[in-house]
Parts: sequence; structure tokens; C-alpha cells
Amino acid sequence: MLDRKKGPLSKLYPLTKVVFLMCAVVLSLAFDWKVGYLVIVPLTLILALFSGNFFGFLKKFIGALLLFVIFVFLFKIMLDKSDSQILFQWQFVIIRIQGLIDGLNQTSVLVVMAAVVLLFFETTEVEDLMISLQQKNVSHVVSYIILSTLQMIPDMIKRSKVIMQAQQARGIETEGNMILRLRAFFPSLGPLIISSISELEDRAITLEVRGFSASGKKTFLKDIRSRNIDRILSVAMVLITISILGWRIFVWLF
Amino acid sequence: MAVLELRNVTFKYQLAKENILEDISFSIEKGEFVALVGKNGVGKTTLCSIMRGLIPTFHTGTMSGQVLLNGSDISEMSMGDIALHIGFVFQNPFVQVSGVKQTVFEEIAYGLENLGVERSEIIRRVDEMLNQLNINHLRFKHPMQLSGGQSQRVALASVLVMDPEILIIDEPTSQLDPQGTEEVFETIRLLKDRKKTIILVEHKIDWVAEYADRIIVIDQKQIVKDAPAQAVFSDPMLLSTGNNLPQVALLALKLMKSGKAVFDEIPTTLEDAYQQLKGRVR
Amino acid sequence: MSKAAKYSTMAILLIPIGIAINYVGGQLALILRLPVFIDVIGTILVGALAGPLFGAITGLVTNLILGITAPTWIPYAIVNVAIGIVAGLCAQKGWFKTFKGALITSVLIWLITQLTANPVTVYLFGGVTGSGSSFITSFLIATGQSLWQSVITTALITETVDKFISVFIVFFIIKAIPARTLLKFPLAKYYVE
Repeated sequence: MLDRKKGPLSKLYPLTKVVFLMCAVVLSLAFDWKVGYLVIVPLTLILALFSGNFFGFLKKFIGALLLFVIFVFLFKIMLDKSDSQILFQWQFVIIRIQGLIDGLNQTSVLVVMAAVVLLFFETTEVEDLMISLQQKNVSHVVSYIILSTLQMIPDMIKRSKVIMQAQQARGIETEGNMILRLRAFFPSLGPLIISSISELEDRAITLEVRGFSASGKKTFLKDIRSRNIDRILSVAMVLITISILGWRIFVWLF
Repeated sequence: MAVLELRNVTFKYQLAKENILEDISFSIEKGEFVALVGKNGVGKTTLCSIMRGLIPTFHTGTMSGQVLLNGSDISEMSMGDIALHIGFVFQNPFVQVSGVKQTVFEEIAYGLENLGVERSEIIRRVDEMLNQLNINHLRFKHPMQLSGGQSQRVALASVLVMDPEILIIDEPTSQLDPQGTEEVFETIRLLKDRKKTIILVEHKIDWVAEYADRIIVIDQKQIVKDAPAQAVFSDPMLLSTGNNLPQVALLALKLMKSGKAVFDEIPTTLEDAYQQLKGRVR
Repeated sequence: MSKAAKYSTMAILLIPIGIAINYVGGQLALILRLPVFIDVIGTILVGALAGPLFGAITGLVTNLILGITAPTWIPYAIVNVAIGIVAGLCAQKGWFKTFKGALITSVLIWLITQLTANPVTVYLFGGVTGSGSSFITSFLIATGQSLWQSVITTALITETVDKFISVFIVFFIIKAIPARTLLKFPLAKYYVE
């Protein structure tokens, strides 16, 4: 079980946070970089202060995007053929304002997405999200696939390490030139895949015995419920988003 | 009426050359405790799969005959519906985990969630199960980080908690020490007291002799004997099918053969032997 | 038989394994410092054993889950979905059974990757892929090529070998899976008599 400090955001119903996530992405799509960079990202950062783990969030946020954003700006600046104001010039390197604005516009949706998605998972257990989706009639199969994957990945990594060590012990090189390393790849991955697939049968029987295919409504050991505050927040966020979009369309038409 | 009935069941796995079981017929009444006995590879596990309705839907092949669950044909029921009636615990305990739960408590609760049992009832039943199988100390452990014996008991608990009317249990004690084995058999006895129907595959013959009512012996694709436990385990014919007799019965037979003692009826359980011998020994 | 064909729990359970294989394959390629990604083997395998729908779901969920920590993966879900669909369709033609079929499948999967990945890279990400291959792209742009040219050239360099290797890994893995296990997957009839 994840042991993390619980902030107020963690107490919200997962779907309330999904509504926030979608509103943020829709708004950043509808406007240029200013809404994303100057409104939504700062808002997300403020919310992150209440998440209980602000610096953890910030580290992930920057880690996820830094390289990407640098490259986008690099490309935009290199491709910028406009004659807008020159901000910086050194030998043949010229940075014009248009290149920067292009970079900001190109990255704003993605930066917003990264911020809200990372904050969401920083404050929400995936299992809780799945339970709330099931409560909204999403199939338990979806929930099974996601939760099982999240357990399967670390398990497989562990097993792949064991297999790699065994291969090394048998003299298969995992260092050295590329051909050697490529040859190490197959004996490491192959047995892992085959053994996982062979275990599938027993897993399937186990699930059938536990009523995985039983018809009728499922219940949950974990008590995940939406409260009044969740309903109020969700409706408010949707209304705000719709009115901003409405105003935007109105301005655009007239 | 029989809770479970097999009528002339013959089965061949899809890629196999020969039938694994031929013309199997028997019926099991409510509350009976039946043990399947036979040497390795004789088809006991296949028979379990047939009774659970996994054949021929899951394990494909050619099957003839009928399996009736409470009088209706199991091949017409869905996998999900069968789960309501039949619990099934099979051999390898390490793979009998849902793969989506973080603690033993949640793991045991999973079946009840799937059946739509109320939350408070889930908690009550899981707690009860943890106590009954003596695994309360595992409650917060990860279900994939257990020893063989521990996962065997968790697997059993995960099925028992669903409270099915019929239980098919395939070698539930293979990973357990004598004490663990006794606990599992005590649990099975409790189930029997609650009028559950139990079908067990188990190699520890002494335990089977102590607890089971009726024994079905399988050899060469067929049922070679289907009789009360006492009758099967006192008959040396069982040895010829590659199975053992209970130690008590072997001792009694040996005493008889050497002329040291005469028994009206070969004892097959400790209690039985004690009753017959207590008057003679000083 | 019709009931067995409808039975889908095995195919459902294959999906998490496929996703984990995608992930672990990619990680292993990184650890071994291979110049290829090898991060869609799972998608191709699920498509090959369970058909286009299950392949597509594997692709989709792979990228959504990677997106939890690195959101730039999310738009590329369309590529992984397309690969799953193509793998599934090719399997339904029986192409994973023969060497020649696997070769055709590699070409088609390579093609669909080019068709779906490059627009995402150019339109959504301004040419950046977020991986080390962006260095190649930036070099090409610096030499005066257009963005599209640079992105496509980069993709040709990095993706071609990758997709061929991936399809052939799956081809050999299917040959190594025991027949009795293969029987339990929806596309069994294309592999087992």
C-alpha cells in the first residue's frame, strides 16, 4: 500500500479530479499559451501545495518535460524565419520573439496535460480511480486490466533480473559490443514471456473460481464515495469551463 | 436429489491421442465428503475440471456424457454462475492469486466483491476466515510474498469465504507440514458439519481415511471402486492400483497375516483400531 | 467449440502481460544499450494471439500507463493501437505462422508506425519525440532540412530495424509456446491444427 501524506486533494472523489483534468485540457486546447502557462499551470502548482508532497510533484513534473520542452524551443528557434524582434544574437545563433512564442504555443497543451495528470496520480490511488469508474458502470474488466498491469510490471522486472543473472552465470555476455548485447536480449526476454504466458491458464481458472465472470453488481471492500463537496465542485468546474468556452466562441463569431 | 452427477462421461484432450477418462458415472449427495484416489496422471485433476465445468469450455477436447449440477446440465451454465455453486482449490498455490490485490485481507475479499456481497458482510466473513485458518497474522502481507504453506491456506480461504455449496479441493496440503495439514482437515471437517459437499483429491491416505465418507478409486481411465471409506481402505486390492492403504490398515493386515490377531473388520482409522484392540492389549 | 471461441478470460488476461512485456522489453533494450526501442513486442504478441481488438487495447493501455509518469506518451497511444490492430489482422490471415508472412507483417507494421507516429510528432510535439532520437532530428533541422523531412528521416533511421526485430521476436515466441496453451487463445486455429 502506498504510504503518503494525505492532503485534502487525496480526500476528493477520484472522478471530481478527472473533471478538473478534462476541463484544464479543454481550456488549454481552446486558447493560446497564455491560458496554459499563466493560468492553469500556476493553478495546478498551487493545488499541488495542498497535495501533501509538493516537491515530489515538482520533481516529477520537471523530470517528465524538461528534455522535451528544451528540444521544442530549440526546433522552433531554428525553424523561425520571421522578422520579429531579435531577443538574442551571438554569431549565427539568433533568437527571435516569434520562435519563443511558437515554442510556448507548441508546448502549452502538453505542459498543462503533464501538470494535471501528474498531480492527479500524485493525489489518487489508481485502485480508487478504478473503483469510482466501476461505480459509474465502467466494466470491472477494465479495472482488472489496469490494476493487474500495475502489479505485473514490477513482478516482471524482478523476474527479468533473475533471468539475466542466470544467463550471465551461464556465460552469456550482457556487456561488450552491440552484437553481443543484442544476443543477450533474446535469452533474457524469451523465457520471461513464455513462462508468463504458461501461468496464464491457472490465473484464468483462479479468476473464474473467484467469480470474475459472475453477472450482477460488484461491491468493494474499499469505501470510496463521492460527497456533496465533490458534486458541487464538479458542477462548478463544468459550468465555468462551458461559460468560458461560450464567451470565447461569442467573441470569435462577432 | 444428487447435487452433482456425472453420467457416462468420456473425455479426450484436444491434442491427445487417447481418452484420459472413459465412461465415468457417479452421483454425489448433499453433505457427502468424497475423496478421489488414484496414482499420478490417472486423471483426477481432469475429473475435477470436468466437475467444475472447466471442460470442455476452458480445456478444450472431445467430451461425451453429462455433468448435472443440482439436476441441470453444467455445460449450459456460464462460468460465472458455476462459481456461485462450486468452489475449486487446485494444486499450485502460488498462482492462485487474483493479481490485483495488495494484502491477504483484500485478496480473500476479492471473490465476495465479485459476487456483490455487502461491504460490512465482506469484512465479517474475511475476518472469520482468517481466524478459522489461523492466518490472521498474514492479514496485511502481500499475497505474492507468501511461503508455499501460507499461500495454500490463503488460496483455500479465498474460496471458502465465498461459501459455495460444493467444494472441489485438489491436493490442498501438498505444501503443508503435519500441523498445517491437520488445520486444513479440521477446516474441511467444519465444512462438512455445515452440510457442505466436499470432493477432495489427496495423497495423504491416512488423513483421507480419517475424514472422508466415500472413496472413488480411478485406474486405467475408469472408476474401479466406489464405496464407503472403510470398505475401500480395508481392501488390499487398492494396493494393486498403485495406491497405499492407511498405516493402521497395513498394520492390521500384517498382524492378521502373521496370525497375531484376528479382526472382524480391518480398521482404517486410529479410533477404529483402538476400539477393536483396547480389549485385547494389556 | 462455439462456446470455447466465445470464452475470453484468457484473452483478457493476456493484455496485462502484453503491456508488461512492452515495458520490460523497452527497459531491457535500454539496459543493454541497444539502438532499438523494442517496446511494442507485447502489443504485437497480443494482437497475434487474440486478434485486433485485444491488440489495440494492449497498445492503448500501455501508453496510458506510461503516461502516468511521462505524459508525452499519451498521444502516441494511437501508434501503439494501430500496431495492435495491424498485428491482429495479419494474424487472422495466418501470417504469423510462416517466415514470409512475418516478413509482410513487419513491413505493414513498420508502415503503419510511420503513418501514425510522424503526424503526432510534427503536429503535437513540433518534431520532438522526447527520446534520444530528437538529437538526430535537431541535427537534420540544423542542416537546413524541413521539419517533416527531418522527422521522417529520423523515424526511418530509428524505427525500421526496430519493427522487423519486434515482429520476428513474436514470431519465434509463438513457436515456443506449448500447443495446449495456444489452444486457449482466440486465434488458436491459425497456429494449432
